[in-house]
Amino acid sequence: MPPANRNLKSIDMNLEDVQILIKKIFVGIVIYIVPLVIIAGGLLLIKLLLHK
Amino acid sequence: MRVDKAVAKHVGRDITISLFIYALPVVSVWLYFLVKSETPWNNGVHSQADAPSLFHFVQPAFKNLRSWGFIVIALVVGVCEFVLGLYENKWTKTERAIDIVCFVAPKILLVPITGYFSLKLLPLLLPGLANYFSWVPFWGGVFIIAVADDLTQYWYHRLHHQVPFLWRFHRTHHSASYMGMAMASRQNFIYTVFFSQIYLTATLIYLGLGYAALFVTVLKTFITLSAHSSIPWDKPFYKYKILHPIAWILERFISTPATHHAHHADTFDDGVGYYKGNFGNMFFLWDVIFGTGLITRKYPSSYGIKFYKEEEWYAQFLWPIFKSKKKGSELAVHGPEVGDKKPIFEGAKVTHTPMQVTLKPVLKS
Repeated sequence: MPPANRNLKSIDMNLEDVQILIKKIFVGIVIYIVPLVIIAGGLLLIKLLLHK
Repeated sequence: MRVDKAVAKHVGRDITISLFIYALPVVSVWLYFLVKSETPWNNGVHSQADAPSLFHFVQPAFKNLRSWGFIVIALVVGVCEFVLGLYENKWTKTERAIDIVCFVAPKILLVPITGYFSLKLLPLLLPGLANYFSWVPFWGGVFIIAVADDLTQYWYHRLHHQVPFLWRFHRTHHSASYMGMAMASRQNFIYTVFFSQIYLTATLIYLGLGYAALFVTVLKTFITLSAHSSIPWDKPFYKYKILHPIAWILERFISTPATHHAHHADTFDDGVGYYKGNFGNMFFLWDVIFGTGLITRKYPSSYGIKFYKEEEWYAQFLWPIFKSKKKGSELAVHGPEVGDKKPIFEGAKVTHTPMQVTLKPVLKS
């Protein structure tokens, strides 16, 4: 049987890479959530404080 | 490799300051309604209503710019740069492949991802909250989006430089030995797809700040594209004395080609390069506030990273999914986390104290 195309790249990840990826995604989510909570929470607070 | 203790201390302090900066536009909206004694959420007022008439006039152009205009501008400027010999003999087969893949692939792959997030995921996560904050006045929305989007990108960018395990996701953006339009989109795909500010702005659009977001994102794209391009639009501001006051404000407020090119330099030795600072994208102001900037009016003598091994395009585009076969590369299996052994602040001309970056511009010739 002929060998597979030698130029074809195969996925080359190990457990350490998966951990790095998970940590990276976690950092991204924190950077997303914190300002969102401050802004959305603040705008909600405006509605509550100025409620008539 | 752990985060340097001094860096961790600065990051902790600057994050605390950032929390207040994020709240600033919201507080100003609150003060505005308090003074005017208005409660627009009771009247069903939409923020579009108080947008300046000029904005209504340019809105169709802005929409076109965002959907296809910027792609055409980047392509045209990029082709001009190539024809005029900007890339000279530096645009090798590998560099060409990276630049083209990084320009094309995200435009095809990112749209369905962000589309799914905005149209499917957000209604699921925040049911019934679509346009919930559409009563925020137009100027308030602009203030909120400008700070939220750009400060978030500042942090995303800064952490990828200062936290060792994140660096390799951002390395591709710095690996080329030239600067030009291609640099604006040259990124590892995983870095691009997890851009926090894309999802933050998408969420704020869902909540009703879409009209303001259009204005801010178009302005931001203009500034960031021009900061990466080879068009030195800032030079006249430094050359003519009458324009110096404007230059003084501009270089502290937004990213100019000079300050952003300095961020892409491969050395500090020319007194211009500052690759461990100048993290701002639209606003340079964040670097001024946090003391991570160096204002320069000269362009660096060389660009890139000293420890670059011209890694394969697939490794640069999709590390850690694909690895480089280059021995000793940061992108190779068991490669070093950070090739640059210089301490994070070495070469810096500023003491990293907030607001102390407003030094005299570096004018070394």
